[in-house]
Amino acid sequence: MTQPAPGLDDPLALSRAAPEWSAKTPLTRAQSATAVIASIALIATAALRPWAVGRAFVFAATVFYLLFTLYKLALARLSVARAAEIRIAPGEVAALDPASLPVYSVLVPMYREPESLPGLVAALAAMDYPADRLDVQLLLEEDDAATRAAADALTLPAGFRVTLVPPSFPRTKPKACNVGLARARGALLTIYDAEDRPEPDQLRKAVAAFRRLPEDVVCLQCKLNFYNPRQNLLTRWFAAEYASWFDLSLPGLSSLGGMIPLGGTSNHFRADALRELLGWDAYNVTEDCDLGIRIRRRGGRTRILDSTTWEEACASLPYWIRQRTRWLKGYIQTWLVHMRRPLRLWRELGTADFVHFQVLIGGIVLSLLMNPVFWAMAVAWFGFRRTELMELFPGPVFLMSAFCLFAGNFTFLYLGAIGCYRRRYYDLVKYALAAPVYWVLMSYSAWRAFGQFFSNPFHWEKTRHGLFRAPPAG
Amino acid sequence: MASSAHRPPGSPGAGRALLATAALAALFFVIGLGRADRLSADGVVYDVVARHLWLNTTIGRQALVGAAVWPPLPALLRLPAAPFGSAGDVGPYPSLLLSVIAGAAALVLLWRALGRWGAGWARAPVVLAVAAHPFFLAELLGGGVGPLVLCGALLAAVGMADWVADRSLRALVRLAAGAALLTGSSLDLIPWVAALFALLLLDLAFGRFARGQRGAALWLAMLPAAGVAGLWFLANWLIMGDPGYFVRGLRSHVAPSPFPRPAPFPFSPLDAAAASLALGAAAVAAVRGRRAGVFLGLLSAAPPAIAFALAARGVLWSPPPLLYIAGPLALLAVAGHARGARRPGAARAFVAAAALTLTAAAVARLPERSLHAPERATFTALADQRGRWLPRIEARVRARSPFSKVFVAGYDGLALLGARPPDTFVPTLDFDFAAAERDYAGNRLYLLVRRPELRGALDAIHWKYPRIYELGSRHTLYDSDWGDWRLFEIVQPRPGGPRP
Repeated sequence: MTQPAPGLDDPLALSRAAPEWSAKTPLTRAQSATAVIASIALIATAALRPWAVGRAFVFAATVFYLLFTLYKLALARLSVARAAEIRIAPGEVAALDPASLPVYSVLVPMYREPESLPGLVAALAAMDYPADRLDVQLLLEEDDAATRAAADALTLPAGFRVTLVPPSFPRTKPKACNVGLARARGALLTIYDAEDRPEPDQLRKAVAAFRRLPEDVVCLQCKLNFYNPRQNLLTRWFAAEYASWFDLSLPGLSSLGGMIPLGGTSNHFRADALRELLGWDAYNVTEDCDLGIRIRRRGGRTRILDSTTWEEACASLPYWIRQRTRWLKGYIQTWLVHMRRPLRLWRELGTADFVHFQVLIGGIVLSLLMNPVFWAMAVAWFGFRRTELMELFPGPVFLMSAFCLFAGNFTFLYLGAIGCYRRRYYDLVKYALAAPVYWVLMSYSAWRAFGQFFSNPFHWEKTRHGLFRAPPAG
Repeated sequence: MASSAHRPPGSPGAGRALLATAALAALFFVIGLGRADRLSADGVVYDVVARHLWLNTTIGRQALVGAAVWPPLPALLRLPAAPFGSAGDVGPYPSLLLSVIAGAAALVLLWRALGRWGAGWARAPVVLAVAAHPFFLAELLGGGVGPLVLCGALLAAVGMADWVADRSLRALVRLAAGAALLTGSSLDLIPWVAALFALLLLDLAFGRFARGQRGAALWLAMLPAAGVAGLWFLANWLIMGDPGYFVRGLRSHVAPSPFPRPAPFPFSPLDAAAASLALGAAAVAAVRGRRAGVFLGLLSAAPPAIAFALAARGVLWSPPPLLYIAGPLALLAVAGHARGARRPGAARAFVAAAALTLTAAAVARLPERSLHAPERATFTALADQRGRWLPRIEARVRARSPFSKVFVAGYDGLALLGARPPDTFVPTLDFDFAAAERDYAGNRLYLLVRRPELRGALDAIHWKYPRIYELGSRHTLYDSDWGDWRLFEIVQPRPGGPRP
């Protein structure tokens, strides 16, 4: 087994060396005090002037919804208008001299996924990269007997090895990745999940891109797509959501040179830069999102690489809810960590990225939490004609709210449909139009995440994969 | 299939377009401020509606959705400027602002589209022809709905042509956006939107597409317009209590009326020139096997044909946005031939000649009975009526009783009263005798009704109480005339009297 790099063998290095960057402490004292004081003030004011507080809440929420809608439209416009992805032509890939290729480390954290192992190994072995330059680590938990047995049963190709992650708290994917990072040999490094199927030339494309780009580009995010988008209604909606995000939001962000909240897989790094950042936060359940922001705060940049990794969309509703809960909980963690010192965050990110951060991290969670409140009011108004609700919507606020309700929601529906079309998921366009049901699920997950943040902030609700079976041939 | 997923990096096109639009709009706005007395009656009505919406009044919501001949988008788009005064209050800012922004956007859109199609220097005469057209200027500086409609029509037509040519998603979205804008902005453009979708269906039926792409393209193209229409029905159900309320006036309009309607064949040389150019462009495109040109030509020739049909049914009034767009669309159809032309110089020269021809036709004297003649009084005339008549009517009714109310019916009534009428006057769009007597019990009530001609004939007061202007009703006694307005006193129903 490769010996870890000196000083970097601690998977919890970030939380120890730079605790201000870690979600180990969910809320700082200042944040707790602020939350308590604000809550008391709000409750007291609501008790004295309930309608005034209601109107203020509705007004603030409406302005937020309006700006959020316009922001998403602007990102979509940018995504379509500008070539924001790094494109590597096939000729450029073919022209790479194999002898000049750097060692590429691939980390694949796994836990209780023996059924995914054969397919994963086959997909990685099929990658077009010299075996002697490949450094694939299957990161298995020591007490995961099933997956270890599956790995032992396989004849691993050259360049593949198993790295055991000792059991310790927290039992999270980023902690496992840090273990792998310490033992990685490559100058470049990437992460894949157990169910991933990256395009075979992805590593070569990343090499070509890093060579072309300036040194401050320390990360490349590849596009994610599903190989089972039509398995059921849930996967169709999931595919539409991914299409909207990866085709109508991320490219726009990238074109602005802005911070990119990373996806959890197919992030390619300059390994040294990643080590300087002390790897991933073991306590953050969306360690990828957090890392993307830390990259930006330290002056680095992330770009989108035009290469796709195919993964499995979660087709089971209970597992989908767990996965989405974890993601949103991680967003809450990430927002709170980076907002510990908001002025410093503003200084380090700059105004534009500070706005992106607020909207894409905090804003998404906030909107999902608020949505049920407004849905309930809409049902009460349209279905039961509760005219007393008009007290909460004075003149211009009523108009703005009506605009957000109809035009805003339609905009998101339509963007989802456009995203499907852009990805050539033509048959999914009509399913994107039924997205409001999907939004209800997202809001449910958001409230679940909110509760879990306080009850069990580091709990990693594992997504079960391997539920997709390709249709039989013929 | 071509995809316009990616453009050269750092393209400044959108930024320049925004700047150009803002600069042009600012210029038009300054010019328009100096001609505030020319603000059209349409502009006044929409301004007042926007003001009422801002104040969250019932009449504002009713006016927004309650009539198919007064679509909602022009009022909604005025909302951001509504707090700064309307034609009834401080000045015509909302209407003027919207019309100059829409007009500037239309010119910039036209310029960019022609540039993409290789029109080169011929862009200038085309855009100048559109900009210098008397009706463009009148609508632009008069706060009319024309520039908004032109913007939507150009967006839809350019989108259609680009979609047929390169199957790009952006073109499809442009087409959809234009169709939605038109659906919510002008009733007489809805048949043109239907023609647009019919051509799209034709293209989808006979074009080559990937599996499932036809259906997906159709969804994307039609959904925004369908959404606008659906929302309109929903709003009528919620506000008026009847999802079909806003189209009732159209059904009643086919009844005979002694009052003037547009003549059935009132076409001007401009309309004939535009239609000929468009059909010629379509024919040439057909000969050359260019489907995009054929579709664009047919689309551009459609407005006069649709106007002919609507005028024959008596549901067209002037100035009709439908004919307003005919000239620019015809020029667009001709300019489409510059795309990929073997002899670009000749193509551009022809485009320039077409622009000059249409300009000449436009500035020629128009027949007096043309549809292009202005419909009714402008802002100045309305303000004059308001200043002269309202105080006299108020003095007249209050002389009989200090507790008097005058219901002023219809959208013209909104224009007459402005956004802040005296307390004696109550604007009403869905007048009901029983409700009025119940809500204003103890008051002496009056009803002020305008002569039912042209678009005013479709107001609810005329289809709820047909011929009330000529014959009164069981609930009314004739009082006096005030220009086109007739004042009735509301009385207890008389048995055997004129029936509504």
